[in-house]
Amino acid sequence: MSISDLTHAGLEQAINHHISMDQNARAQMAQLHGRVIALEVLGTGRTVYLVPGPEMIQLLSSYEGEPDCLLQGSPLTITQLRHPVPEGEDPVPTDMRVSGESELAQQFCRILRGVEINWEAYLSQYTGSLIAGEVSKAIDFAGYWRDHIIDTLNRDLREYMQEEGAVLPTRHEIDAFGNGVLQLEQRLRQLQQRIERLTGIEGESR
Amino acid sequence: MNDKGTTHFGYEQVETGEKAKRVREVFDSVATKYDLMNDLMSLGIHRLWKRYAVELAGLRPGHKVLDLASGTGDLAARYSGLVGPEGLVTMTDINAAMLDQGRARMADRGLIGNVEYVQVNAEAIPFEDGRFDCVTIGFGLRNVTDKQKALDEMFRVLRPGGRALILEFSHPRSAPLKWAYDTYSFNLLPLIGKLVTKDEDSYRYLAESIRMHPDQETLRGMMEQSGFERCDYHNLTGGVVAVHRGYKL
Ligand SMILES: C[S@@+](CC[C@H](N)C(=O)[O-])C[C@H]1O[C@@H](n2cnc3c(N)ncnc32)[C@H](O)[C@@H]1O
Repeated sequence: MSISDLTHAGLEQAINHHISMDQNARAQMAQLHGRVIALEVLGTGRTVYLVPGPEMIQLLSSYEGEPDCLLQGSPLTITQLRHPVPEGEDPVPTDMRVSGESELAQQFCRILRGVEINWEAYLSQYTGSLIAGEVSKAIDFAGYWRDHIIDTLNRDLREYMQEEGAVLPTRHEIDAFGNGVLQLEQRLRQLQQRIERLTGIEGESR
Repeated sequence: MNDKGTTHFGYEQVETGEKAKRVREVFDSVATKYDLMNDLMSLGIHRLWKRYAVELAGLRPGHKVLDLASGTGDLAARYSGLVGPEGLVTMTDINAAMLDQGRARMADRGLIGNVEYVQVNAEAIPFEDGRFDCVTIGFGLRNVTDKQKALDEMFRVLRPGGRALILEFSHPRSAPLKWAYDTYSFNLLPLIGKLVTKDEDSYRYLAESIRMHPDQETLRGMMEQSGFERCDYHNLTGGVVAVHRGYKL
């Protein structure tokens, strides 16, 4: 999994979260079911493919077919998508280049403009330098794992990562997994204690 | 599996027919709490794993996809979005209770037009040769008694040029990760099972079945044996999970 997979997962979730709360946007998205919109972030060499559907929109890092339309814009242009435009005005940002089906591009940009997305946060992952700290801040995977696992494990892990030539994203997933395991363990212990306490109390009061 | 017709059920040896029955029981007993458990089991990461696998499927509008062991249909739901109204997703499971649950969830999600539901044992797929553009099985192959037979069947129902994907727990490649994973699956997973579903054994079975599953290279070899070509695999989360992919050329 690469950093853009994680970014796309986050962005996908954010868009879908907003859409799930907006009946209208959901219905409009459903009408575009199966259409493929490519969004190229100029200057970063990144393209994300967006596929709307009845339940949710899906974001893909790669697409083997031909998209129905291609939108090309600089990060700055793309951030303009966060502002709604009045009915009758072109929802495609002025500096955005459109090829393919322009009507689809318009419908799609109109939907996106209704959705509140912090584009900067996602785009910065394309444009910013991929320093571990920054990335984890951005994707919000706490450094819990790093702090709580003894140093030797950490060293092993680092060596393993270097040895495998694996880079940050893998580190990231492992962080997330280790972090999850620890939190889960804690939660379960608490739950178990509570259950024991409750059943103990019940036993006494009988 | 060996000649005497016994097979693994987690770490226990049981008769082959018995295994299918026991696997069914495991899922019957957990079907309703499956989604909750699914999140707990893989700490939400399963969503990332599934997204990744779906990308590798290379689906396009109009494609016909067969999803085996669909459970409640996380993969099928994504496919349904990608193949568009002209495509068709055949969502299947060996377990009728699970499939009903899945059908209900898909309807809740508004996914109705391009999905069909069929009760299917992956070892004996009731469809003609060459019907599908893509055949997938997510976190299901390890439950199948005769895995080679399931792979043969997946190959058979693919059209030439089609591809198969197998998303499954696999064998982590680093020591610390193995440690975290073992703690999680052997200690925490059964504990969750006990607390949430009051069914420790089912989750112990899940953990054990994961360990018994063939490792990355072995599974790739098995795919080749079924006739798949250009087989590769992608380790996710350091090999906790792997996606295997093969083509029928
Ligand atoms: C862990 S669930 C996976 C569900 C879903 N694919 C997912 O990824 O969330 C495993 C499923 O495999 C099914 N299963 C077990 N043995 C099977 C077989 N021989 N053929 C088809 N499905 C089977 C079970 O009924 C269960 O629903």
